[in-house]
Amino acid sequence: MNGLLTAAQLAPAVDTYLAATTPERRWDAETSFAWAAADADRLTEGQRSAVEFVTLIEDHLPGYFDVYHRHFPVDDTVEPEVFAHNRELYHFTVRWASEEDTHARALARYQRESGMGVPTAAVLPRFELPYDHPVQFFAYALVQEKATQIYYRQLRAVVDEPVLTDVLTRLSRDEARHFTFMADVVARYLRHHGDAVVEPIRDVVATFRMPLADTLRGYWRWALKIADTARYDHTDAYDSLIQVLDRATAARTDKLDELMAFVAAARTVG
Amino acid sequence: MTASPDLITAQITDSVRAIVADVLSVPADELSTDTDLREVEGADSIKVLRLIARIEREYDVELEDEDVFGVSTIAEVADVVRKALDQ
Repeated sequence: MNGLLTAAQLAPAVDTYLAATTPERRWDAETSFAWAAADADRLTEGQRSAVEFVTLIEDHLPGYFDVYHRHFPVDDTVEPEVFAHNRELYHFTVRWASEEDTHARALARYQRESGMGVPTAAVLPRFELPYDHPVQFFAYALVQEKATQIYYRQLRAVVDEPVLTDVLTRLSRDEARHFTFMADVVARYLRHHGDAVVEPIRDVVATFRMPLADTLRGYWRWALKIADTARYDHTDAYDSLIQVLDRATAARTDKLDELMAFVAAARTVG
Repeated sequence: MTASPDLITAQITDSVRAIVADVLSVPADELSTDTDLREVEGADSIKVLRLIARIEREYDVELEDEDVFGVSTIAEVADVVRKALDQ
């Protein structure tokens, strides 16, 4: 894949991300929650449906992880400098995957402990991101992580069940850190590659679809249902993307300004 | 007497236009058949889904994900509704 950052250019973002997860901030699905108090009877039908939906989304982590593994391979199929970049990225990817897997476990356990039942694993087609520029994988995840964080926050605001509130708080904080990493990487691409990454980022916004929108049958009906429970619109994340674009570099160009206007327009109309 | 296919399509298009106008709170006469729903002022992705859901109820059809995510304009919505009715 052409247009990669170097390993040295990527490394500070990875270091910052890993440093932000100090041991005292880490949590797990097994011991961090008062599961005995979990009570789905305190949830509305819509809130239960929302929990089922986000559990399914989080549980598809192997599919998301596989995308990064395929596009940023850590073996001799790539040149040494690309390997160095991919190996650096892998430090992030495995920690990120571990955290997302913890989300899936926490949500699944919540369903079991609260009386919602045992969630069944969904076997879905291979997840793919149809991108050919590396910045696109980070710009996509930037929007997706922020949109997810916003949704968890919105859902938490309407839920009156302390254990689920606690779970959503943990998840939301993690997604915020993931967003920060993606934002850091996108900003680095803009600083090091300038206008060359503008069009690829624009393409991500123009074609953006949340994970599983293409693979989960009936996705749109479910998305509509959970939006009735708490606001759910991925374009809510575009304000954050605009901020990243705005602050990434002092060297503003017409192309970058045009991209920001494009994202702002997409934010307004969805 | 059976209505011609063109007439049925025109009726569906008018109905879709009225629903779009109602859900998105815009005058129907400002909406052309090639108006991109996501570019209508006040639209967002959830509102677009809401109006598709309403159209489903009005016509008693079930639209697939690829129909819903694949349409942009009133004419395209009318077309997938027409196809769903034909099935």
